[in-house]
This record gives sequence, structure tokens and C-alpha cells, in this order.
Amino acid sequence: MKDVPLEIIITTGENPDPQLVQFSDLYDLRESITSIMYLWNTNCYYVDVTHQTFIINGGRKLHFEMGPCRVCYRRRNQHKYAMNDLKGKPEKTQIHIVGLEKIGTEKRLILMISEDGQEWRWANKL
Amino acid sequence: MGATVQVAETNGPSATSVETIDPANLNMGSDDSAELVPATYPITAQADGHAFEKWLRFYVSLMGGSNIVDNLKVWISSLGGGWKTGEGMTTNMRTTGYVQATYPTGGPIEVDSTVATQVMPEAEPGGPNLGISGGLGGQIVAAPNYSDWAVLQLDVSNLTPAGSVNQKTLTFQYDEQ
Repeated sequence: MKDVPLEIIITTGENPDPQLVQFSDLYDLRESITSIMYLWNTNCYYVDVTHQTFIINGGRKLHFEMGPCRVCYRRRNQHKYAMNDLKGKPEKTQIHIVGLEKIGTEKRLILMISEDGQEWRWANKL
Repeated sequence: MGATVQVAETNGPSATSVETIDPANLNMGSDDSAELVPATYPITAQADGHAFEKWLRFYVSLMGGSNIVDNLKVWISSLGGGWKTGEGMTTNMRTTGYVQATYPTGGPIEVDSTVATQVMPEAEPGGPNLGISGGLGGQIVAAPNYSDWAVLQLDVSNLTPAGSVNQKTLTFQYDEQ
């Protein structure tokens, strides 16, 4: 549990410098967000939307509450099995999900990023 | 490092069942075995015809630094060229009214399944459709461990044309935190 609500850092097109914001600001700015960063001890999780890069360190649990926001990180895995197939093993893929949720409200931002960080999209729900 | 999670298929009567972890495919046919060759074990077109049930589970062999594995979803993500006449697939998985299945003493059956009675979803379900410890909101927090059983059965009719059906893709999805 964290009491400090200002550990989310975002950058928007209007303001290229990283700034600390409340969740309500982030939600309102969601169409112009170019990067999201949040800090957890020595691990840094950084998403650069403009340049479509994603850097992540460690695979530890990242599900905690910070002030009015809940930040979650999870990996979503898919194993795709063919039927009527004799060619080989199933295809296995993974995407990263970074979610920011205003506690007690329906507002949330969920960003899904491909395993190699080259593709991303906003999602409405987990 | 993430969790090591694989699909496991079980065949045979419960007392002598055989488990295949991470099978190469989920081909269905007229034999209760993993990775079968469809041409060797075709399903005869007939009124109310069926392949042997597939009894499958997620198998978590290692947590690998993750704390939770949950949000299990299984669906047909590709129909290939679509269903042939009279062809379809049923399952026990569902997002509401879910009931945990118990592996049958006699093993999977080739007649109409009394467990796989729901239409298999052809798009990602809106929520988990396979449970853990009997609940869709269940979580695996330690390894080794299994999910509940996912039961699938391919159905044909006397109108289903001879020859191969189209190749389908089943997606097994889970989250780790």
C-alpha cells in the first residue's frame, strides 16, 4: 500500500515534459498521452506511446494501491492450438497489460502492449 | 521469468488415465487419445454423431515469480473455412451458471456428452469461462496446480459431407500477476 498518489508520470503531446498528475487528469488527457511511467522501488516501468517502445524490468507482482489510483500490471498469455493439424506445437504469445483505475469509480485506462513492445492499443476492460 | 502454464489432456478411465502435457494439437476423432491423426480415426457421419470428448486443464507447474494465475478463457479463435453442414462443437465452459466438471470414472465418451452441453464460443468471452477450484473468480497462487476441467466435443450429423473438416484454432488464455 502506498500513500503517495503522485508516482505516475505521464507525458502528453501538449506538454512534452514528464509531469505528475492525478488520475482524473490522466483520464481526461487519454487521447493525447504519449508516455506513461510509474516507479516501484528500483524497478521502472515505462511506456513510450509515440515511439511504440516498452521497457520493463522484472516480473514481480505489481498490483498495489497508490492514493486514489490502483495500478496493475499483468501478463496475458495465449496458447493457440490447431485442430485437424499435424504440423507441430501450439503457438504461444504474451502481451503486457498496464491498467490504471480510479478506485471507487468506473474510470479506468488499460493499455495492452505486445510482447516485443511494437504494438499497443487501449482496451476497455481486462 | 513468468509462470509455466501448459494445457494438459487426460485420456482413459480415471484409474488408469494418461496425461499429456502440452500436446502438439487438439485433434478430435473416434479415439480417446491425445495428438491423434484424424485420417486414422475419422468420425462417421451419422445422425447425432460425436467425436470422443476432450478433457483438458491448465496445468501450472511453476509460478516463476508470479503471484496469481487467473482469468481463464477458452474459445474458438479461428473457424478456418467455417463449419461444415451438421458440424459443431460443445463444451461445459460458460461465463454464467458455471459448474465444475468431474472427470468420469470410465473416461471420455464418444456418445453425446452430458457435460459438454453449451455451444463453444467463437469469440473471446467477456469474462472467464473456465473456473479454478469451482469458481470463475478463482486463482491459482501456488504450483503445481490445475484449473478445472474444460470438456470439448465435436459433433457431426448425417448431413456432414465426407472428408476433412476445416482446421480450427482453439485459444487458451490466462493472466498472470
